[in-house]
Amino acid sequence: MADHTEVTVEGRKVRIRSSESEPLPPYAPSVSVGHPVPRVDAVDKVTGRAVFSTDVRLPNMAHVRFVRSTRVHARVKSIDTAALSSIAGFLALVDPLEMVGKSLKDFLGRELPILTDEPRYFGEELLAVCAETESAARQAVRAIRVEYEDMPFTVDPEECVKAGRFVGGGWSRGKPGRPAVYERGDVAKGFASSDQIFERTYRTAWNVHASLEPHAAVASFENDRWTVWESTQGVFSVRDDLAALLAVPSRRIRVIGTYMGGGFGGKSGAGKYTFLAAYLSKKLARPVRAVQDRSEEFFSPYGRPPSIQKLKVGVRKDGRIMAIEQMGVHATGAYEFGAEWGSAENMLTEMYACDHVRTQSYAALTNTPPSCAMRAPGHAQGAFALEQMIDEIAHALSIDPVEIRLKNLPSRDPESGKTFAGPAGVHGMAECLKKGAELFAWRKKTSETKNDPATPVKRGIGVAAASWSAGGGPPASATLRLFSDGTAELAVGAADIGTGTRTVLAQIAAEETGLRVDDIRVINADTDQTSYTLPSYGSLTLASAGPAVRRASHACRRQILALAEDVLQAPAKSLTLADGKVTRPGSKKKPAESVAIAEFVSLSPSHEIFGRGDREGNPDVAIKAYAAQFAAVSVNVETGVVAIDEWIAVNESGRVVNPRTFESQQIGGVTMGLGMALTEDRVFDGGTGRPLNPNFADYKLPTIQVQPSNFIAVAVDRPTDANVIGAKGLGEPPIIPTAPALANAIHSATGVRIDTLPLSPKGILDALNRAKS
Amino acid sequence: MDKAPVSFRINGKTWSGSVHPLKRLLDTIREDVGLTGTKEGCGEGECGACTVLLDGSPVMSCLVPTCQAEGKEVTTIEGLVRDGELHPMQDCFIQEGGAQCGICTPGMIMAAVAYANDPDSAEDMREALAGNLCRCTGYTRIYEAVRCAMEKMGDSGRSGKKDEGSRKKKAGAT
Ligand code: FES
Ligand code: FES
Repeated sequence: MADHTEVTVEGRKVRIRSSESEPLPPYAPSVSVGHPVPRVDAVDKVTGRAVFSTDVRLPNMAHVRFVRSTRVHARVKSIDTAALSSIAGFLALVDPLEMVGKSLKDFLGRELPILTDEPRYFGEELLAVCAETESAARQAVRAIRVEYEDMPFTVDPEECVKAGRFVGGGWSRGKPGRPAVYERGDVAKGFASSDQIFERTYRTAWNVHASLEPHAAVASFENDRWTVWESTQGVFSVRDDLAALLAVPSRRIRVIGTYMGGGFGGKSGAGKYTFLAAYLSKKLARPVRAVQDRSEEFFSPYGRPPSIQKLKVGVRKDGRIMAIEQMGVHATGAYEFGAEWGSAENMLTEMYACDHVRTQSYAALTNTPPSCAMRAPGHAQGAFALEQMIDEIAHALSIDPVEIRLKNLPSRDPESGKTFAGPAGVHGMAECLKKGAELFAWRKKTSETKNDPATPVKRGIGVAAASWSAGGGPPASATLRLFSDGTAELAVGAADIGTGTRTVLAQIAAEETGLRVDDIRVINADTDQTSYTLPSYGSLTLASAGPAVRRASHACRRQILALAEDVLQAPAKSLTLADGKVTRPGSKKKPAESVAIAEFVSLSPSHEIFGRGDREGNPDVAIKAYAAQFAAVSVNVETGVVAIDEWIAVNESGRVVNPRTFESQQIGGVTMGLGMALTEDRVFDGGTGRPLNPNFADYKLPTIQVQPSNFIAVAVDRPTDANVIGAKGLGEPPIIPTAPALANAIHSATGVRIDTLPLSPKGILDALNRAKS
Repeated sequence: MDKAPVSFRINGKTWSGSVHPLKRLLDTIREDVGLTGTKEGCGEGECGACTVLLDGSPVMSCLVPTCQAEGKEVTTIEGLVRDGELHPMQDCFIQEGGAQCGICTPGMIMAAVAYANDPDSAEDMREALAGNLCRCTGYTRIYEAVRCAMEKMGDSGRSGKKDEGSRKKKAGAT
């Protein structure tokens, strides 16, 4: 572990020594961890008992809705609210004046106003109305007349960049009109020592999270405190955002996020609707509910921005990458807000060994909704370019596409120069590629996939890979309480956004304490009842909270064992904890003996055994998760329709705590990737700037019909030594290689490269026609 | 127009109340009857989260005006449990891991139950469930859960085979 961290306190740089964390015995789970335990909340979910934020109904609850801009860029000239007084049930109107100085902030402190009278994108929030019922609130919205004075706009990111309206994308706040530049080595030198140089421009489309539960909050203000139910990935970030907006100490706000219907990066903090609900609940002294419509989910908040990536790669004849140069443009919206989320460059700088790399990131200030983190932000876009380019190079040099990737694997993290987390001697990406190639019979298929020129259906195969920083880390903590009835309560701050967090954390606690998973009640995502943790994003939840849970459980285990040594008259190391009991093995003299854990709890001084665990710091290494995917497709060159015949997804994310939830994450990620690859495309009309398809009829999510018939998802189950449970993150890696693997397979089938997403039948036919002429 | 009396059976019990005849059945179920197991994912008939059975047939309750339920039998996710026993479809969704975040699950299960009760209502399971979106699972575990339930429900010979075959045939169409 790094022995200190450098922080700034009151403008002064200080070094804080890292705290010592207690070493735990090597992890060799057997009872619970590693087994496909059914989800602990499955019964609630299949019976309709699970209460989501959208289900929360409080007595006397009022409803808030927004008046949204119907213009793309305008000044509000006048607002006529005369008709409001005649609407039965109308309660309150909030205008931008009342919200002066109130804004959402992104990671770099850039602001998005709560309400505005100078909208910069279609659908931006102008006013909020509150009414007795949802339908009265809708009526009120319709009754308000807004007059605008239109201003010039553009929704085209390239046009914006040409006009100089951009900022640097990425993780530092650059100057306006300057791209963010990353550079290592000297690309000119790298290209000079290359045998061949490849260039191509790739385009990815505009996506949206499309969580099936919309953004939603219910707020109530009582006894000088707020309680907020929110569909969120991070209850603590919602609490802290609200505390800043309401200008109150954070302990005056309780945020509850127990069940939530999908997030994918789009529900990481408080929304404008959250603040309005909280603000109005105090002002009106009654609970307020704010739930977005499906159409609103397409402008607020935002989704994956589109990208245009010019990529240039120099290679030696043997396939070694010598230089990578990239210029990326993405639409970030006119507020700069969230400009960090669209940059594709990290994929290019971290994936392969290459001494000479230069990237430039342009975040275009388009008149569109701001950009937002969405599952593997940046990487999913970057992979579409890089992983196709690698395929193109492999074919040009007659090197096997799997081989060329293995050849360019870095032995250290190319960005930081750090070594990779152990175990040493094996590379996770190599393992994914090899295992996938074997399962897919890659070599055999490579030599056997031939197409009859006479038939219109052409078969092809493709591969792509990914890496993603997935080590997790502090801050995260957990508490475990064991009761004398043999049950326990595990409290963790982390949200379970559908990934199975509650279940895998219960498994970790069960493994360590010997309790049954069924006897552990998990309390999560409640700022009053659980301790602080980061939101469930960035594939960090399990690797952050998991070790904290093991530590809390280990503290309980030690207390159980201390009592058991006396009761069972045996040394702790001879005792096993499983199935709710502590067991002393039998010997010649004495038969085996078991005593229920409940018994030890009653013997404990407080009649309760309590443990708390904090996440230890990470070692000073690069901790990555890896993925490789293999696709076999049939492409009808007369219709442009692609059928997926086979899909293999392999992931190395350290230890597999639950094979079932692991596989579900893989399949779900690939399926979202197939949506990105084949159909998902938010369209903004260039002439009017309006979104043309803010609904599920025209923005096409994958349905059960898209699911490949022959779909295998497997894990490389290789515990990392970077934390005390050996797990790394898995949320994002499965989506990263999907679109390029499919594009590579389409190329293999048809001989044409499709450089633009989505890979629609029209796109494919156009590319085929271009290739012909 | 004003509220009007309406009466229907829901999950085996008669419910009578006064609602606007054009109020979405979804809202009547959630707000007036007070059963929130049925979810709203889009309100536009595009996601299937609000699926309930109306006289045994699956409908998207966000598209059904309440007056259409008059005198009919509505079954929601809450009505599948009988005498404390889960429906085989629910059991199989647990066993096979068919629910991730769970927001699509009630609607998905209702659509699946309708199909399992009448496999001739659709070409195959994929067609039967094509109107139910799930953003989390990638559908594989849902597919397996429904197959498992159909076997348990005893129509395995016919429907089980039908879906085994269709899995290959209809694969990957975009
Ligand atoms: S809510 Fe009814 S179909 Fe989506
Ligand atoms: S489980 Fe989340 S949408 Fe289906």
